[in-house]
Formats: sequence, structure tokens, C-alpha cells
Amino acid sequence: MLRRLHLFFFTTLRGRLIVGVAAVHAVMMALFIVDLTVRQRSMLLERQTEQAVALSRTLAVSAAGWIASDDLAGLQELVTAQREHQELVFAILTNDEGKVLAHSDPAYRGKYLLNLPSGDAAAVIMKSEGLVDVISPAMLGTHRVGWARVGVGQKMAAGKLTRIISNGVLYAMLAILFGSLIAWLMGNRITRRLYAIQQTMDQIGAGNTKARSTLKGQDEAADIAAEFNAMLDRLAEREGALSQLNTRLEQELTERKHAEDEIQHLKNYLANIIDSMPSLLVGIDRGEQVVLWNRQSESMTGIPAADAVGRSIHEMLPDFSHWIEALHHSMQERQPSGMEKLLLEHNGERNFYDLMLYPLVANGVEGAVIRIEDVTERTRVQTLMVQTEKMMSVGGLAAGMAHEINNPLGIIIQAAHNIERRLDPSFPPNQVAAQQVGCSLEVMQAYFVQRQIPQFIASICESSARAARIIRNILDFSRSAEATMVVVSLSEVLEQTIELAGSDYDLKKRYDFRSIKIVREYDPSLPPVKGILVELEQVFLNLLKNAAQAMIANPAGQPPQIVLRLYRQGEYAVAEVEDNGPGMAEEIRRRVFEPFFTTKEPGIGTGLGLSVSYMIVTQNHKGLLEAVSRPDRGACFSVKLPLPREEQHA
Amino acid sequence: MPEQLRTVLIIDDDPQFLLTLGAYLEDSGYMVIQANDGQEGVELFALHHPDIVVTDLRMPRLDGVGVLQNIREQSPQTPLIVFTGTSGHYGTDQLHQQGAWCCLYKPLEDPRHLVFAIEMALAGETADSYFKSL
Repeated sequence: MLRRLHLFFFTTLRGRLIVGVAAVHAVMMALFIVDLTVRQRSMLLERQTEQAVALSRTLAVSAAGWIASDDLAGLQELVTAQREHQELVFAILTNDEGKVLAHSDPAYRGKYLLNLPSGDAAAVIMKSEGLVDVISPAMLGTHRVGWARVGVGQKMAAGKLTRIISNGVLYAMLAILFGSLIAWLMGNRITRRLYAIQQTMDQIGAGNTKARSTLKGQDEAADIAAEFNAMLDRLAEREGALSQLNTRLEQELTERKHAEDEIQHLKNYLANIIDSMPSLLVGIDRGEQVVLWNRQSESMTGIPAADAVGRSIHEMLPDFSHWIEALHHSMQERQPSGMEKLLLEHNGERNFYDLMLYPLVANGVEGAVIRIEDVTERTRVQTLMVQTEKMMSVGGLAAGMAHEINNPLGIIIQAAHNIERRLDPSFPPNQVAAQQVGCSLEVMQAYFVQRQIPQFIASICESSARAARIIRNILDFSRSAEATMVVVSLSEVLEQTIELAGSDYDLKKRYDFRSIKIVREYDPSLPPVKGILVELEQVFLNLLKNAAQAMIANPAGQPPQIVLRLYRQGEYAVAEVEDNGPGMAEEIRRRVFEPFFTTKEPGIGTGLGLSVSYMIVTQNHKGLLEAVSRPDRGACFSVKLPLPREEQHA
Repeated sequence: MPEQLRTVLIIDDDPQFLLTLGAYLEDSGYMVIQANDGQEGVELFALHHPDIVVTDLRMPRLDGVGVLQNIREQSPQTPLIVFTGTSGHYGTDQLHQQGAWCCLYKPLEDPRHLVFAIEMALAGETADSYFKSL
């Protein structure tokens, strides 16, 4: 409540006006009352003094005779008679020496008054609001006989004064009240107009920016309203400009956001590209510290990018350190440089790497990008291609040579057979010829046997026959280009070949092929391929023979077993021949398809079986022949033949 | 052994080959006529009408294919065996189509294979049955 009053009186205009007017009235009225009271009081004192002087004179005149006659009773009576004066406090009559002759309080009789005035005039001894003490000489003629002293109180005067003051206060209060009332009314009038402006402001505040004050008139409130309207117009104008600016800013912000998104997108895209690279990509700064470490780097080294960035490249890629060191010059020269087929051996595994260093030449960027690519597979393929090339040329050479020795070899074979037959005593034409020349076939035969001629001839026959087989193997391949492709079912080819292997002369010589367990894992949905039946049979026979030969030395607990698989792999039909023999070491595996490469004892293989098979599959059938093996894990040869085009996308 | 020896015409431009093969076939019981090239071969064929012809392919003057075509005209029924180091740009199928009984490649591991082929050809068997019987 007090607080609200305080707020009203000291914060609102009306309140301040009322308080101001009331304060002015209060001060004015207070001054007026004080002035009035002072005047009244001095006037009253003057009148009281005059009264006291008159009373003392009257008493002195009345008492003079009595004093002269020293009539104490009379004097006392005179004094007592003065009590009719209400305001009289005391009355004293003394003789000229000051001896009290009569006193309103008889107890003082006989005492003396001191400090009597020296003259014969009445004197005011004391003049105050409470008491006016006056002494007058009692003259008898010109002769002073005594003194009359009177004390007059102010009881009535004080009452008057109080009344005057209380009236003054009452008037002051009325004046304040009236003034406040007028002030309140005036304040109301002023604030009503201000309130009208405030209402407009409230509307603006509530969001109605079009609101304007409609206050009319010539006073300051109207001026304020006009100014206010003008200000609102300016504000509206400025707000319009601002909102325009805002819209533009928003647009710019959207554009910038868009551009940022684009940049982020591009950044992600680039990071994605860098991470998707199958190469190890490492960015280094001038101090050869890692600044970029792509995913391939992470997976190859096992070091996450967060750990690699900021570290020395030599610390992160110690294996490549000295090569990178060797390329250091290119960073200064700002020329890309690289090294190819760097060989690294880890746990017996040989890997080849290409290392490239690209100095960054963009403005403000110092450093380089190092790209390391695992080219082991590519190198392997290249080696294989070189090998194929080699085989082709060797094969071609062999074929050419074979053609040239066809006839001589044929002549040798035929001649040897002729000699053999023409030495046979049981052959009738021989007997006829012997008779004609007159010699004994029996004696000749005995001689030849003695000299081992039949064995030598047999050696010629056998050896030339072997040479003929070798040449046949070589030429079979070159001749096969003449054959035509037919649709063949690989499972049928495999089955026929197994049957063929069972009766194979070479195989039979060493072991029984039928004792080998054959496990068939055929995918029945595998479509047929186009191929040359006899060639494919030759290839599979070769693989089966090799597998069988490889498993001769299998320990007792490991019965020989061949797994045959047929399945589809992309656009290829795959036929696998897997044995459980001793397998091959990597350096052997790499050479198995080379012509004349053999691990068999001399005389057992020609060293052409697999290379001819390789030629048949890769050249004549546009397929692939691959060998997978690990020592003690057997070997697996897979023949991959392209599916007919109409099957490829099935 | 029949009374009338069967005649084999062998055509090859290598005299040594001709000599050894001729001797072998003679020993095997044939009457052998030898020609050193295709031209001589067709002339001798016209002259002697052999029962069967064994010819090389690559030869001067007239090659084996020429011989084949010529003999097919002269005597469509006489079997002809191509015995060659290489069939060149002719496929065995092609030669077969042109009327060759079969195509054998030099050198044979065993010359008996040729005699076997001659016998089967003369007996009117097909080349397929010959290859299967090997």
C-alpha cells in the first residue's frame, strides 16, 4: 500500500503535480502562520505590558496615601482587591526603601525588594510571555513614598495565540487539500492526453505498426503526438529498409549456407575419393610430417589417421623411408618422381610396390603427396603375361622346330622299324634275300645278338617314338587352332576324361587310377560352354594325371583324393581339379606352366603337359588356367572358360 | 596274303622319307609306287590306278590338296590318306570334306599305325572307327 502510494506520488506526473502543489501550499501557509503568530505574540506582549504599567500606576496612585500613612491593613486590602484582575500574578507594595508592605502572598511581607529603579519612572523589570513584571513609584506629590510592583501573567494571551495557530493550520490544510484537488484535476487533463499517446504506443507495441496518434490541439501533448507520429513514420521507413536489408542478408545467408553445403559436399566427395583409392595416399608437409592419411593407409599400416597425422612420414612408413628419402630432391625441384616394383618381404611374403611422390605446386601449399600402390598382383599378372609370351615364343619355336624335324624323325622311325624287321630271320622276304646273297640268317642273327644290335635298334625305336610323342604334344597345340568349337557340357567332358584316365597307359604303368577317390562337386545349373572337346579332354586328362602323380607319395593316413568342382564365377564356368598331395612351393607354382619345366624324373614327363594345357585354355578357348597351392596343402588347378555370350548375363 | 598285291601310291618330296616308308610298306606286303611330288603323283595314279594313296601336303609343283582334288576327279572311290607334318591352313575337317579318308601326322610313333589305317581304309571302314580303335 505504502509502496503503491509512493509509486503514485513520486513516479506519476499526476502524483508529482499534487505533491508539488501541496508542498508549495504547505510552505507558504507555514510561513504565513509563523509570521502571524510572531506578530500576534509581540502585539499581545505590548498590550500586556501596557496593562501591567497601567495597573502598577493605578496601584501606586491608590497606594501612595496608604504608604505614607503606613496603613498596612489598608495596603493589604488594596493588594487583595487587585485579585479581580484575572491575569495578575502578584502585586507588591513597598516603601521607598523596598520593604514589602503588602503582598498578594502575605508571606513576603516585611521582606525587601532589591534592585529598585533609580528614577521616578515606572520600569519594566521583566517582560516575557509568561510574566510581565512592572514597577511604578508611588508618588505623593513630587515625593516618592514607595513602590508598587505588579506581575501580569499571559494566560489569556496564550490561549489566543493557540487559537490563531490552530486556525492557521486548519486554513493551511484546506489550502493544501484544495490545491491538491486542482493539481489532481489539472494532472488528469494533462495525463489524459498523454495517455492517448500511450495507447498508440501500446498498439505499436502489440504489433500494429500502422497505428498513429490522432491527438488534436495546440498543446505540448499534441506536439509530442505529432513528433511521435513523425518518428513512427521514420521508424516505419527505417524498418522497411531494415527488413529489406534483412531479406537480403537472409538470402545471402542462405546462399552462403548453400555454398557451405556445397563445399562440405565437395569436401566429403574428395575425401571419399581419396579414401576409396586402392592406393596408400599420404600427404606430407615441408617438414615431411603427415597431414593426410587415407583409409588405405590405415588398413595397410593399421595406424588410424588420428595417430598418423602430425608424425614424421619416416616414422609412419619405416619400410619406405629410405625410398622416400631418395625422392626428397623432387620436392625441391617440384617435379613428380617415383620408383617402381619396390620389393618388400614380410614373413616370407613378397610384395611389390610402386611409390610416387607428387610435390604440391599450388600457391601457398608446401609439401607433397605420396602414393604407394601394391602392385603385387599386377606384377604377378605381368610376369604371367611375360611368361605366356615366352611360352608362346618358345611354343612357336618348338612348333617350328618340330615341323622341321618331323620328316627326319619319321625317317628315323621308319628306318629303324625297317632295320628291325629286315633283321628278323622269321620274315620271309629276309630269307629270300639271304638266300640270294648266300648268307645264313641264323649266323647273322647270332652275330647281331652277340653285338647287341637288336637292343640298339630297339633303343632307336623307343627313343624316336618318345621324340615323336614330344613333337605330337607340341604340334597338337598348334594344330588345335584348326579345330572347331562345339557346345560341350563340362561335367560330361570331366566324366569322359575320368574314364579315359582309368585306361590311360601311362597312368596304368605306375598306379591304379581307379583306386583314387573322386569327389564330385558339380553345380548342375552350370550352362554348357563352347570348346574343342578333344582339347578339353587333353587338358583335364593332364590335370588328372598330374594330380594322380602328385599323390603317389601320399602317406598311408592320407588316401589319394581328387575333388572335381564345377561352378559359375561371373562370366566364367570354372572347373577345378584339386588333389591332396604334397602341394607345391611358390617358386614351383609360378613356373608350372612354363614349357619344359617339370619336377618329374627325366623320362616321365615331357614338361609340356601343363604348358600345352595352358595354351589350349588361354589361346584356343580364351579362358584362364590357374594354379593355387601351398606346401602340404595339395594343389588346385582351375580352368575358367568364358560362358557363351547369351549366358553371360543370365 | 592275297594273290594280287594291293598297290599303294606314296607321294612325298623328301626322298629319304619316301625310301624308308616305301621299304616299310613293301615289307608290310604292299606294292608301292613312289612319287616325289604331287604332279608326279597324279601322273602315276593315272598310270597305275593304285588301290590307295598316301600323300604329303606341302610339296613343290602340286601340293597334297591338289593331289586330293585331282584323284577325286580321276577316281572318287580310291581312299586317300593325308600323311603330313602340318596341315598348314587346311583343317583336318576341311581335308575330310574334300574326300581325304583321314589325316595322319608325321612322325608316327609306330609306323604300324599307318598300315593299320591303310588296312581299315581298304576294308571300307570309317576313319572314326580307326581313331577309336587306336
